[in-house]
Amino acid sequence: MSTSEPRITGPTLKVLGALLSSGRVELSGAEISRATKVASGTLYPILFRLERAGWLESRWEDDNPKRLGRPRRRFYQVTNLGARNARAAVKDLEPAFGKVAWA
Amino acid sequence: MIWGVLSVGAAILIAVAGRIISDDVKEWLPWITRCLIERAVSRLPEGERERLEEEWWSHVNERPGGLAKIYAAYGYLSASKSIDKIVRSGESLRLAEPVSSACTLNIVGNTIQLVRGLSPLDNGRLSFTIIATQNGVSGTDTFDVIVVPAKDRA
Repeated sequence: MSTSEPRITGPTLKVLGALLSSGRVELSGAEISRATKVASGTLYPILFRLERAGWLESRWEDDNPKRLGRPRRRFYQVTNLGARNARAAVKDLEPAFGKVAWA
Repeated sequence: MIWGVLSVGAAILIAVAGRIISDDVKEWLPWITRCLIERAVSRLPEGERERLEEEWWSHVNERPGGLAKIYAAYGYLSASKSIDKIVRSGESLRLAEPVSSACTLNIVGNTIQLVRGLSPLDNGRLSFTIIATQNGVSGTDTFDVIVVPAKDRA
């Protein structure tokens, strides 16, 4: 078992940012994709990796697919650990963003 | 005059052929989407197939237009490859903090209660060793448990 954290890539930060700043507690994969413009091929491995690391948790939509007439959505939300680590990751990047850019 | 009639005839033929082709393509788009999702799901580790198949169908259904659905479904091919790699490598299946600081074990009678204070234990595996001492004799046992969040328990 590895002891390192999930890789923090640009798309990973976008996904965490969308979940933390959406104003809603949880979002479906499609909503995250719309908010971040991260393609499905990149998004689901990120969600999978973050969930396995305990940064996200997910649950099915509370209804029967037959009643809904469509497949259920899976909703994701950031755990306390995920929120803490995401904020720490953003903080680590802040000095780079804060530097003066010379034209 | 003849050229005029021919032009009108050709225009009608092109319009009819265009309509037929367009209808045909519309019929094929859902089939292509289904094939791509089925192919992607078949490449997933067995334990993840059911969940991701429903989730991906749900995502695809929210995309407007047949081509957008195909584009999303095409992405699942690379997603399934990456997820399979994650599962095979055991990546991300870990505790972010040492167990000793992440949880407390209470022993009540012959029951061990795992008091969870942090979420990294959710959906994770936890190994712990208990050293019991009685009348100067020590015994050690190691346990490997899968932690299931309370809300998912039957």
